[in-house]
Amino acid sequence: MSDPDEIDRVAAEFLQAVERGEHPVPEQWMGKHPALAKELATFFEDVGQFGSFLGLPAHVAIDETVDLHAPSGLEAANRFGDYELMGEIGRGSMGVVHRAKLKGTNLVVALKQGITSGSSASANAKRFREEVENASGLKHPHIVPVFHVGEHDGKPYYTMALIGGGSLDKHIARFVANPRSSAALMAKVARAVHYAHQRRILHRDLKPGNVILDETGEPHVGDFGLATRLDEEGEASVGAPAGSLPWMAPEAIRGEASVSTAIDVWALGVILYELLTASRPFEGKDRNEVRAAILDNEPVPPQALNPKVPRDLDAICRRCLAKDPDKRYESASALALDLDRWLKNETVRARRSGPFERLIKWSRRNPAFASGLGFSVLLALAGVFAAISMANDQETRLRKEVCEGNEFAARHVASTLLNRLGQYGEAVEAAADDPRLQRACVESDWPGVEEILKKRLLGDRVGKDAPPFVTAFVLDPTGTIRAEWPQEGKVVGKNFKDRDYFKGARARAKQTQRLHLSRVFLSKNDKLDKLAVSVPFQPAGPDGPTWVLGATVPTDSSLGLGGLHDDHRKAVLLAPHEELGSSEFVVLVHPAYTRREPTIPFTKPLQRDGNRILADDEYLDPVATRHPDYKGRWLAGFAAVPDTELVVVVQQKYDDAVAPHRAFFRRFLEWVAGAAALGALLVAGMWWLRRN
Amino acid sequence: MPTHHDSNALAPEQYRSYLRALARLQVAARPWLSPKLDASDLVQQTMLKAHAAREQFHGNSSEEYLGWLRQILTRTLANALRSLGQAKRDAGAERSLEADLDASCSRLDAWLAVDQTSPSESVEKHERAEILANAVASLPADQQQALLAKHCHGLSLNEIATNMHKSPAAVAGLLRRGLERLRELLAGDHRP
Repeated sequence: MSDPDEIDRVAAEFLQAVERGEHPVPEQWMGKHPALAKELATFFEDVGQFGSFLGLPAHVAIDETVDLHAPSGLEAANRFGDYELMGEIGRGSMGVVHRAKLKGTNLVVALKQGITSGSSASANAKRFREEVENASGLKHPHIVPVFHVGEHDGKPYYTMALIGGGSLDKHIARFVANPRSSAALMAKVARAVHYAHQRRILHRDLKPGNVILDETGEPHVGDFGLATRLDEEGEASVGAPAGSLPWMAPEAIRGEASVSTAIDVWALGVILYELLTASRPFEGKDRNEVRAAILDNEPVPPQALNPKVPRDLDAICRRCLAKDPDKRYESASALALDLDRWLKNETVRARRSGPFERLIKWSRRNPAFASGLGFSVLLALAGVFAAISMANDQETRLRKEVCEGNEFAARHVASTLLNRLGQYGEAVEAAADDPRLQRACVESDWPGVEEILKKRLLGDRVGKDAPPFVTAFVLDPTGTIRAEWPQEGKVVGKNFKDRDYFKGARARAKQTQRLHLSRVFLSKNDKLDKLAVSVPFQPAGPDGPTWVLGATVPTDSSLGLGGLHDDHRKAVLLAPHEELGSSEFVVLVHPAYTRREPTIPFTKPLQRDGNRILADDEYLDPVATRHPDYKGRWLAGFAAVPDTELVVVVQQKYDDAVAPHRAFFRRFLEWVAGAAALGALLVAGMWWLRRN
Repeated sequence: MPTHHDSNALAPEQYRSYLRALARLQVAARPWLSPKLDASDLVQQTMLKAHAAREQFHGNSSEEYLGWLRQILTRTLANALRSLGQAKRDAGAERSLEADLDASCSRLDAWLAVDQTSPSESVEKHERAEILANAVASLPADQQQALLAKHCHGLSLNEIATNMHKSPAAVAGLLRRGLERLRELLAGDHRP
């Protein structure tokens, strides 16, 4: 046995030599100290391995020369059947993975060796064989492919593609900023997992560490070391709970006798959660806390941790993490489809969105249709607005035209009326100028006067165009009626000096235009409103007293207005009434009046400017209070009868006036609505075709 | 074409284990600090600073990016030392720390280059560095001190002996047993 301090002294000398810049040769040192050769060999080997770490010159590390106690050497250890091992990549659940090169080629693969030592060696060997069996049957672009299965020195192994981008857990940070890429990646992973499920293989150990990315970022599911066969019902009987805790589903943690593909869906949800938030949904200080969190806690919604996560993706993720397996996606494929839906801006199953949101999504999916539809709707709206504004303009114009037409008609009626009244006046004037009448008045021969009145104004001479007088009478200079025909008897001898027909006529005694059209008065004879035409005369010569001859016209007389009525236009005569103010009128003649009907006051104030009447062109007919046919809006034109206080109104129903225009507008709207409906139908049809 | 903004290539997350290895070695090299400073915390602070200041990085390659991260780690470590009253308030403290980190870094890289059979796999390489740092940190204190005096400060055997008040042979013994233990630790556990 050598001195325990001796080896350290030699080691110190060796190191000091190295530090001095010498190049000590290990074999020489071992030769110098044969008793210490074994310890020195170990020491030199360690220096070879760690010299660079300590900053010793590299050439000290010449481990090939140290060949005393390890005859197989490094090279031999690196040899593994037809492969040359190039270093351990990692350890999976059931074995060690090496980087390995197939001898004589440049093919570099990942080689997985089963762990064959320890108490559970045989169980491990069995599991390893199962793993090989499970993994080698799976050929999918997103599952790590198995190349070759073999055995070396009694150790089973298999080789698979060496995928160079590292496992997903090293790349989580770069997915957090981009939910779309997370969704796209997980859709691929979910499809690969579904492919395995379809071949009755349940992975049971899905986690970012088992998803390997290649150089282009494509994911590859690997390590089927815990995979189990599914039975006919899609369930797997498992022994003890297995898997990596943070990704284990509640039912797997509880150790339920059989689990289903839902546990893989859960794990996919956890991975998605990690990609979206860079944190795990269920965390704790130790395994017990994590276990409790998985069993009982609802995860913080991904959106709360990363505002970039859209609501739909958040919902998809949380649906995978439903504690109840039946509430998760029914398959990994269903998850992949929902992720695809989200990627295509479609409505996802995990969350029902509102109609507006769906419209937005639909528009994003079908930008051409959406803009087309939007454009049509805009166009239709613009059309409708233009039509409404045009319709309003046109209605205003139309109304003005109608009113002007009415006013023109009213002026025409007024002049006709003036002409007719002139004729009546002529007859009354002629009677007043009759010398026999004047003589009879001077002689107080009242029956003679009445005879002349009858003959000239009411008698045999009455023809087709004769004035429609009902009575004629003579008043003496005091205003007392001296004679009347037909003799009603009640008014003769009574004084009417305050009547307008008396005062108005006497005021014209010295004028050339002697004819006076009186205001409307209430007849004492028959209690009806009447109008009188009166003329002054002087039977005792130009210097004698002034008498008056009058003749009454009844209100139910048309005064020749009747011919002007048609289906749309009505002509109406307004006259001032003795018992009312000077600008207040009654409706003297109206087509609605029946015979001997009392007049109705005209409530609207009228202002006169020469022969023009300033009044609102739209009005409500006062007659409507008694005759409902005349209710509603009217458009009216007014005209004054020259030299009289009479006013003619020509009125037309508002609805009748604008009816043709309304009909046109309605037809236009129908066309627009029809076109819009047709367009919508067309777009919907195209959409349906595309969808199917 | 701002390649340096490619989040994939230059995500600080990729360097977390490597930075943790560096930090752990630095903390271990100052055994009086070990109870007060946690390497993971230092790295976390570094990550946060790097994220906050990511616009200030104008390099292109991942080497430059790692260098930038290392600068931040150096400053973080210097601040931590200062707040613990362990560093003199002069600029020299930071400079010597930077030198230590540089040396540590290049020796670690040299070791990784020799040791690792798959140097292209940077992520794996970094994990390997962390495994080594963890193994070093788990060594008995005197072995650790001797190893790190060489690794971080590049002291000679005699200098270490003077500092540790031991004979050169005793130090060589610490180194020898330390390396042996290290090899056993690394052979026993390859897992992160």
